Amino acid sequence: MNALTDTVKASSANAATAAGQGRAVLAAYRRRVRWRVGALVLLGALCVAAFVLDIMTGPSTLSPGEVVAGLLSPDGVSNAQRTIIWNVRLPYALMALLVGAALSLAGAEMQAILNNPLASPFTLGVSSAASFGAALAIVLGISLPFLPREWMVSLNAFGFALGSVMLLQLMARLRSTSVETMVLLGIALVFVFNALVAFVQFASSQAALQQLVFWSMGSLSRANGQNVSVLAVVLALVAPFSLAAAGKLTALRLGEDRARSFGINVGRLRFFALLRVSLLAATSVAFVGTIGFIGLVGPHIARLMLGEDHRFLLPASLLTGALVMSLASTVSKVLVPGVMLPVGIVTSIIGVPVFLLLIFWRPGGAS
Amino acid sequence: MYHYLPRNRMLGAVLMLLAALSPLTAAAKEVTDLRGRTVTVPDAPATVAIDDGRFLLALALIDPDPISQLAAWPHDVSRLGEVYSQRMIDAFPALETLPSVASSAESFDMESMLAAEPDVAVVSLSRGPTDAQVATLESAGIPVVFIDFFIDPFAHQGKSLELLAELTGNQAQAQDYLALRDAHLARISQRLADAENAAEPSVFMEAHAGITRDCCFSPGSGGVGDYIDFAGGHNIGADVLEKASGKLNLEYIIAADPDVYIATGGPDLARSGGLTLGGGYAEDEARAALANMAERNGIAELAAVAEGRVHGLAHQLLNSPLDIVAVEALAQWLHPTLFAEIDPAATLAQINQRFLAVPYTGTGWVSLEASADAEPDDVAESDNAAQ
Repeated sequence: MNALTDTVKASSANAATAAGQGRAVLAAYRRRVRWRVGALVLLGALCVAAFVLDIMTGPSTLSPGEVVAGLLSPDGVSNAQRTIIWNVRLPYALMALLVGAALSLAGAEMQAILNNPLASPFTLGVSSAASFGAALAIVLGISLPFLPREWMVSLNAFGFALGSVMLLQLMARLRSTSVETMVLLGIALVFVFNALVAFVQFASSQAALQQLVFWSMGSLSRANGQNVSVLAVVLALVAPFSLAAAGKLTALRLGEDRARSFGINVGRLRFFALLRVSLLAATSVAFVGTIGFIGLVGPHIARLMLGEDHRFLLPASLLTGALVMSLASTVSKVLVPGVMLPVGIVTSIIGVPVFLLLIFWRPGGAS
Repeated sequence: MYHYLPRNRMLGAVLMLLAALSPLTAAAKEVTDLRGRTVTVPDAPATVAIDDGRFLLALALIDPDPISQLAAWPHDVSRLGEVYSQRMIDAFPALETLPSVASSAESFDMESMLAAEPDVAVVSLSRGPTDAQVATLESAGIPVVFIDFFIDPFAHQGKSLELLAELTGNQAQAQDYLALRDAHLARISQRLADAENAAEPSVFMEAHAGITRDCCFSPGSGGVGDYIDFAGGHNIGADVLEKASGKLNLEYIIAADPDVYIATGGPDLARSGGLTLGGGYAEDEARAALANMAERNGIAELAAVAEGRVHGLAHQLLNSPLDIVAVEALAQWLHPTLFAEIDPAATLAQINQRFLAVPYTGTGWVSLEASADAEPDDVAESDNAAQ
């Protein structure tokens, strides 16, 4: 009897400890979620701060007060000041945020579906295809009757980038879709398109070559109201689908078979993720040229801070990309006042130290 | 392997003998090229090869038959402009059948240059052969002379033209031309010096206007910017760019609000919808293209545009010894009253008539101010800006 009561006591004690453990795990989980939500809020706040800094910085002597006044009541400032604020600083700063967010989100999805930390939107030839599309538009001077010529280069770049992903998808379908095949095919596409661009350069006249070189140097200074809005719309349409797929992507990171056992159609997941990546990357490249570093490192910075849970990793990547790009935009204006440095150079100068800092000093949230 | 050696040695000996004999067979002289190298060239080279089609314009200036001594050229008609090239070919059909060498825009091609067998290879300072390739060419008996009309045009035009003249035996006509050029330049510098305290208007010169959707490539310190300084202006690009050219921040230009906006362009910008003028373009076409440039984001708001100080200039005029025409146009734009009676068109007509084997036609420079119907608007706009 005693023994029995002892057993009962023991088992109830066990249950109590199990419940206690469960509570502890839950509490730890909640703490982690709180930290992650907090980190997202912090990143968001940093993005806003970087954007404000970007808007306030420039080679002219506008004071922060004048910038705010110009933003609030455009008619209250001089013609030149209004142009600087509304036609130069605002579109450039918005474009920096949007391009950074788009490329970094695309990179995070790419790294998830290919299960490859070296993947970025440009690994599978998206950017090479875009360059080839732009090169053809520039060299052949093709145009459509209803479209201004300046949009043709962007449109063609976009078409080729999207086409390259479709081609990749098609080839991957013909053979059984494995990640390795896909990466290999993508790398083959990179080389094919690079060779084609080189050939176009070789065959084109001096004038077209010059234009091509200028086009391929990534620059935020092509930003204007129209293309900023287009990229904003693309990002707003694509990002919700990315976030909706976050849970499945997390499962995919546990392994393809594991993901299948959860009832996830991996092929379909991969296809739509690729589609989103190509939309984001192609639109960005079409408007600002090649800015390579963000798509690779933005997601890694987010991962080092927040770990693998894609429900947090994807929005965090979006924010880290926007943050780094926005800071880079500010620095590119400040380094040599009056001169536009190619922003791609600056993204590396800004991004690498942040990246190294995180690798050597991991904040508590990293799992 | 050793048994090849004697033959190699024999070949070497023969080559050395030939090299030693060549100064005896043809009288040689020394010239100093634009790289500062002292080059031994034949006294009267029978043929030269060039690596840039635009050198033809300089040759046409000093030689009534500019291709008589041409061994090879790169057939890069787009650089010279399709229209001018065609007129050149019409005048000298042999141009089309001359051997081709790689242009300075491509990587240097040894074989085509060797195959052309020129007595002298005239190459571009900007992107000619490497030192090793020069050594190979010279060991094959082809001396290499570097000239330049593009990197530092203002300083190098005269010297480059003299070198070309020296190599082709056209010194007399080149001296005549350079005398004319010097006289015209002196007239401008003298008048600027006499007009003490003449204000130096600030200038934004947009190079390759409209080549991409965004703007603001500009000459910096030296290079094409020297022309602005010489014509009595202040190049705002030189304040921030330490190199010869670069890309300015649009905001910097708006904030600097230059007194004069000058766009440079050429037929090559047709594809990108940029500033098209020069050979083959009528004045109203060039003016329409310039008006498009002045309507772009940021440029449209400049006081220079509102007040009608908008001008277009063909690259070709800055990149050749025809630059005095460009300098006169610039001087007139920057100091309209001081240089009221200067007439670049008359200068060009004189050059066409006295010197150029194939006359330069087309609209080399154009201004927006001349459109009479736009003037009331301009005044209204500047009034608004003043308020």
